[in-house]
Amino acid sequence: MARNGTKNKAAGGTSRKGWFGWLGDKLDQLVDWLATTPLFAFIARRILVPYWASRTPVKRLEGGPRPSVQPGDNVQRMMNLVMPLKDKSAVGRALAALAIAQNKDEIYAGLDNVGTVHFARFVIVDDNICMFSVYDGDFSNYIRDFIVTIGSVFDAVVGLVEGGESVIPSAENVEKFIDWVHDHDIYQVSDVATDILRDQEEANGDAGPGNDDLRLLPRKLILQLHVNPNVSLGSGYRAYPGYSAAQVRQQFGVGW
Amino acid sequence: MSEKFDPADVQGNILRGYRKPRVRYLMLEISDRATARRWLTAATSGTGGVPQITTESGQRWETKPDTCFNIGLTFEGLRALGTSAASLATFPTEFVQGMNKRAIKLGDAGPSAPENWDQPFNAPARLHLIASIYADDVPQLDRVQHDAVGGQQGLKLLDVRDGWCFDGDYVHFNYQDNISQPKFAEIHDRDSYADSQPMAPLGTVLLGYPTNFEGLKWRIPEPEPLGYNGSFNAFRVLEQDVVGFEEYLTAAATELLDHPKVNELLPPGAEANIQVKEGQRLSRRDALREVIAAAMCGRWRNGVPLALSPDTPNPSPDVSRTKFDYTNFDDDGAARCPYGAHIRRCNPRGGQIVQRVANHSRRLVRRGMPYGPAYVHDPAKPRDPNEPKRGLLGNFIGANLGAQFEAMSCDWLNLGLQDPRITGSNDPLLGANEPETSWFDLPLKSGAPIRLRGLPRFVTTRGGAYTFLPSMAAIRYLGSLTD
Amino acid sequence: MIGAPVSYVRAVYHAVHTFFIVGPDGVRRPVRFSWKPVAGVQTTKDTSKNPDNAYLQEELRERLKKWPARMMLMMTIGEAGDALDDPTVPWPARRVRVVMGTLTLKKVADDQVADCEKLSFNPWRLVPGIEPSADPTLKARRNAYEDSRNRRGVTQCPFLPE
Repeated sequence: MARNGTKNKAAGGTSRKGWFGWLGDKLDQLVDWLATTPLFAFIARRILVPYWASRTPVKRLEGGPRPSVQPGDNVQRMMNLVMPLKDKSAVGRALAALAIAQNKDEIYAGLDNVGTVHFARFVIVDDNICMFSVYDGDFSNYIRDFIVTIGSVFDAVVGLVEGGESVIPSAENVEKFIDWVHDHDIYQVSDVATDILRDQEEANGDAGPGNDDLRLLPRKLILQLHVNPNVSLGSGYRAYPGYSAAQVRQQFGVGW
Repeated sequence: MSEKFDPADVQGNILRGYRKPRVRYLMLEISDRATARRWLTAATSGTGGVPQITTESGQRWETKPDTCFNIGLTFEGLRALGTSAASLATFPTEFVQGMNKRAIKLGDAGPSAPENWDQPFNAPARLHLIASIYADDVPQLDRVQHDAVGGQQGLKLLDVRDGWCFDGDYVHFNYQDNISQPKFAEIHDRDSYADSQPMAPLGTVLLGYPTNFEGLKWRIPEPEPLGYNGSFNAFRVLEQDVVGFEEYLTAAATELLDHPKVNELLPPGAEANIQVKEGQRLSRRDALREVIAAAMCGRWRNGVPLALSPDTPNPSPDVSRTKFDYTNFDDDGAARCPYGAHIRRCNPRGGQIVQRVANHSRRLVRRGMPYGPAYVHDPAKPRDPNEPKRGLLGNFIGANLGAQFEAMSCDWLNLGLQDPRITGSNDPLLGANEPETSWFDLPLKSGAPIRLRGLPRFVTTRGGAYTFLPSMAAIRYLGSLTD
Repeated sequence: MIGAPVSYVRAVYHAVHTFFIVGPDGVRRPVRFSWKPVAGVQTTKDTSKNPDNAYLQEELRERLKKWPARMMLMMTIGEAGDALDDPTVPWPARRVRVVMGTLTLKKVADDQVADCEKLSFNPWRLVPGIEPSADPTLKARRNAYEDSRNRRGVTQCPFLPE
């Protein structure tokens, strides 16, 4: 579909002159105005996007940081897990809070020993238990090392999440568990808006360049957000990019 | 699952090295699954002229077989044989995706990227089976190859790769290799070097046994006869720029001659301690070349570990090649083997690392043999534009590719996450280095190291594949599939 | 319900008392110590029944036959306003935390009586540079331990230069 885009009429109306030009400008203004009316806003959100989505299904882009060989991309990576709780009530949220509180010793000891974590926190947003962290190195290694040290905490939390029962106990389902967590790590929209075109081409196994019709960017972004409702916008701000947690600790002389 | 370990169910190239001087790899596509299945069944018993797959005995071999024969299957190969979708879904993701798709994790970018790999590795959908033949000479290799794939076996031969030991255990770059491997309680180990590392549990390389991680079990692909006693292998064709390596040593040594701290690295007169050939005295620059080569590897080129002999490749009395673990702070060996040295990066043993829980956990079995002719370094000779290709045909075997081979490759070999003093640098020998940004530190007793820069990529990946090394029961199972 | 530790070396040990450490710069800092297992914390899953008596001793023996166990010693540096004299109040996790070292356990002492029962660990036996805080519980332990040691006739640990 990207290739067909170039066959469409060129955007804008710079070459149009005279009465036709005037009518064209008025039509453009009308179309722009229409989009702001409640009726058209409703049609766009409730009818057009679902229709697009069913006509041109879009692959859900993979979550987590994009694979890279560059050192700067491999430290201070973000994990943003959004996991829907089974029990969507205050009691369910309290059970999640309890699971974390009961395991504080485990969590801190684990963080001290895994050694590659800058920050980690648990947040409840609506009926999702979220785990956000900044870690160094490979995602699988990070999760695997945590299964080894604090697998029981993972089990306590993931057991409360929709579909979690199929991957616990984590120590006996290491491969499945890592895949499951990766699947809950939300897509990180690149800092460069057009990278979403690249990501989608890659997901479709389309290696050739030149399919980047910029006019399709808004449509592609909307369709991606349709299948990937939770995303990270950009890769985040860093005050001291490029350094691992252990490098920071070493510089401060507090041991690593 | 049977609790008792049955060595005869395990392919023979997993727990021991055959130490044959020749190897040949046959890259095969399954063109007819029914015939290929019959071939697999025949290979388990060596009937119908098909070579018998060599199995483990657990014992020392009284007489070595003339030739050995083993097989590995890619995910596409399992599929081509008609393995059910339900069964295929129980294999780990990295194996399902295959080595080509995991390239970034392995540092296979730029010239090492899969799109630049040789045939048939650049078209992984067709690479189904890799058979390996180990023998004493080429006629033996030819004979086994003929028996294996010379007729109608339902297999199409895509490519052949030969490796050979041109100089005992020496490999290209002129290091002695084949020194240290995980040791298993269940197996007689013919190379009984004393080793400071804990004995490896069988689950290091075989599916179905306790692993190096306390309480952790790897998933056994289903059904059990298919997965149990199996293993995974990362087969790699690694091209080595032997000339570039020697040239770099010369350039770096020449630069070091004028370094203000060079006398700390190599005190005047200490060249006499660095003997490469009996009775030959090296120039200061040539001695520095050896010092740099030793630092990059973590061993002198003759295999003597820097951790036990930081000043000389010829210690008197001699030292163990394997009994060290970077924890002995009483002598300075642990500190003077660079944190970024190849063998220390890939296996930090008991030494301090950032991921404390991972000590010993990423170990794997390495079985490699060089390819291409021996190279004799002659500084007077200019680089030959038609220099023959040289490298290593390597097998990196473990029960979990993700937890061992990939984990070692992405965080340790490259990136250097295990130690803040090397983070941001890549392995000096195998790493994905670019001269503009690469660096490597030579430690000094007084503290601040000498930093070498401008290391190019010495090793380029030319191909490879993730294969499953099925047990004998699994091969029989695959042979019995019908559709 | 939180289970029991599955092993001596899969539990965290918090030394609840505050001590003062005098640095080479002469600065006196309040600190607390904790031991963290490198293998991670793990508790028994089944909390409905009590574990067997003395199971930890046997577990440790069996475990150390396979591989050594490691514990990290962490030191947290307190700030003004932190509970210096009250061992019941934890310090926030936001304080500077220093890795002091790693303890590797390779075997269980053969003679449990001589190497364990016949020892007394009085928290007041401190090397120069480490001082007790005004924690009243810590104070109470001083004489209680001393009295216990005299009655049992056992050796003081750690062995300090007299």
